[in-house]
Amino acid sequence: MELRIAHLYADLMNTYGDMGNIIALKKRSEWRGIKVVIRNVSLGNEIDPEYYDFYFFGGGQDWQQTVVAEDLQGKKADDLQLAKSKGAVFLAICGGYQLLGQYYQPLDGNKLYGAGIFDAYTKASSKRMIQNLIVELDPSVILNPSSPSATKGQAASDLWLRSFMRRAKNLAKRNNGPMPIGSRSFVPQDDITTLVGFENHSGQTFLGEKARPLGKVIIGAGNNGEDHTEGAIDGTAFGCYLHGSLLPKNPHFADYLILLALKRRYGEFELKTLDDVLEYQAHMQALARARLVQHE
Amino acid sequence: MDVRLFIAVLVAKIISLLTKTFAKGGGTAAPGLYALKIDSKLIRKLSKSLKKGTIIVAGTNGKTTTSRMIATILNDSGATYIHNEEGSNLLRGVASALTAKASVMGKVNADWAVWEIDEATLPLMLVEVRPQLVVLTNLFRDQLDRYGEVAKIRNVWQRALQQLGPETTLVLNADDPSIAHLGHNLQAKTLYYGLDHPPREDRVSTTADANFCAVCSSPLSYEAVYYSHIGRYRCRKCGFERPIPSLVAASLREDEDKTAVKITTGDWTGGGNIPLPGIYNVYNALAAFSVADGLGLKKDEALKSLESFSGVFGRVEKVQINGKQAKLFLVKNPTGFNEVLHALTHKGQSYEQIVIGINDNFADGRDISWLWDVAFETLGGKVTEVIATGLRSYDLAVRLKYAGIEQVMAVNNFNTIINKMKETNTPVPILLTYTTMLSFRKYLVEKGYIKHYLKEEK
Repeated sequence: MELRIAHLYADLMNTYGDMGNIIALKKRSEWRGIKVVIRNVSLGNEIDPEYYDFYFFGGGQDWQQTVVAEDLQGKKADDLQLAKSKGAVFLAICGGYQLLGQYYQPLDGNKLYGAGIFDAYTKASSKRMIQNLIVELDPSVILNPSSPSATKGQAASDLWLRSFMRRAKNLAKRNNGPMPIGSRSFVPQDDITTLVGFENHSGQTFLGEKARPLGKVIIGAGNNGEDHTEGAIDGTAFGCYLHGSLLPKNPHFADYLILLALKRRYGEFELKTLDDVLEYQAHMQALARARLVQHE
Repeated sequence: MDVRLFIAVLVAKIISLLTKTFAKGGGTAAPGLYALKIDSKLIRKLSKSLKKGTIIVAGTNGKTTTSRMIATILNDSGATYIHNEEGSNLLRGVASALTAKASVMGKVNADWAVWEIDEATLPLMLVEVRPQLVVLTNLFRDQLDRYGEVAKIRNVWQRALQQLGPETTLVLNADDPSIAHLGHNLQAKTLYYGLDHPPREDRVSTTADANFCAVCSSPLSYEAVYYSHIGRYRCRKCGFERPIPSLVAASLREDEDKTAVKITTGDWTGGGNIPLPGIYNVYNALAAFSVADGLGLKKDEALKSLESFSGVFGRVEKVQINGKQAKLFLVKNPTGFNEVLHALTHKGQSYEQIVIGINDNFADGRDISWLWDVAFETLGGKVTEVIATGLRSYDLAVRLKYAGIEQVMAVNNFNTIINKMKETNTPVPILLTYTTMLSFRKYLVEKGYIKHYLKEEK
């Protein structure tokens, strides 16, 4: 089995530690005996829309995004759309998310057209949204949709979040002592319905009819700081503002994406369970810090 | 008499006296903060009474070490100076240092002021004073949540530097394209320093911030990369290239705690040992030496001063704990972190234990994404166990796990860390972010392992 990853503009769009997502995709696949191919697809490179299972697109600095936006026009955008229609999975973060939308409207000047992978557009704004970002995932993105928090709506999820915080606190207390990798503090994967990360953007993204939010904002601004949505799901394409890096400390989401990408060529199967104790501890610590820092 | 200034200085002195009496450590910015509230032009006014003038050091990495090196050179040359050595590199820190040394009549009794200035504060500072020298060390990604992107800082700096006249000399790192580019189209004079060294890395780091031309945005081609995006570069498209430096360090021999160099300027050449590890400290020393040269000080003596330099708080500091040796390193951003890892491992050294502490307080930067830009993979096979600590210990532990470091332990308690150190037979490197360093040092003071919370051990 092999996971083929295209890292879009890896040489240009590499701000805010987004490389961690590639590392997580690679390691989590390899730990399960799945071979991984990673290729940098950058300025002037052609894309074979049949070949790749996964497209990753990270954040970049402003001027780099202008160069990339130009390169994305025409054939490249068409090929990416074709790849998506054939079931390839996209994960686009921050600048990458904006560039894969319909367009980007700068404060002054003309619209910058995107690759149209997401039915979403972004407007420049003068406020910078910089903070921890905690999101309650859309239930469709949860590996085990039978878990209670995935089905009972907001009230249940608030209740769950409170119990989660209590557990995080207890864990933090216990962790005054050594806690080696692989120690058996139990963190059931099915219970995790949050994404944790850090946002740093001034563009405000608004979703069109064909896209739905990746989740609901619990702490932070998310897509635009107005409608409490964060990210986008459009078919097999996922976009968001979560740096952090996102996938290493949200392993449930990483595995969801890996599985979805592999299904394109290998059909239905299950991923081997990994020892994710450390990853979920990082998830909890991030959640606890976001809560605390929010009021500082 | 300037009544406003008189009151501002007096209030600062009283606050300083009170905090010294009642608070242990910290509080270095408070006198300046209140003094500036009383007289916002205080820095401008007091700086005018300096006998010779002001030297400013700014840049992402190396500004503390460089400014301390400059201070050492000035001191050895018999000049008097004031310096914001206790760490506050914002306007309030400068105001604190000025008011501490000023008479209530508003006279500062010193030849020079040497200011280490925060990236975001540099433009504000250049409005207040017309410095004789401005040293710009480098620009790397650092606390993107606080400072914004590298290109943005470069643009803001460029506008601020264009206001300077020919009475100011800019001392610029020729090997950092972002910094070198700042020397274009200015009225101020420029003095470039750089390294003459074989390539040290195969290619520009994947997370470099200036691997594209600052003039035309094409990729830069490198004849040699020394670290990150620092090296000998050229833009094939528009011809922007590394300026030929007038001060050059060559023939480097890197050791674990020192680097031998040969410095050349004009027809003068001298050799010596920079008593700090890492190529980044060679740049710091060369920047300080360039200042000495710019001021017309004796070069042999300046080099001798650099050879006697004794390190800066938290930047490579040796501490004895329970009879075991620990080496403290301050880590702030990927480039600095990578250079510390390089210094620790490039000769094949290995360690039984390394302690790394990551906090996400405001002063550290709230965003810890940068951990994924640090090449922890280089520690593979070189360390038996890493102790991860700090408010984001688990983010670090996960990063290390994905870097292939098998034995990682998250410990959020300094006592446990010190006890674990007893088990080792090799010196323990302790790498900490700013506020982790502060709290660890405070702990070491309480336990009697070191005497001063803010000053390094001699």
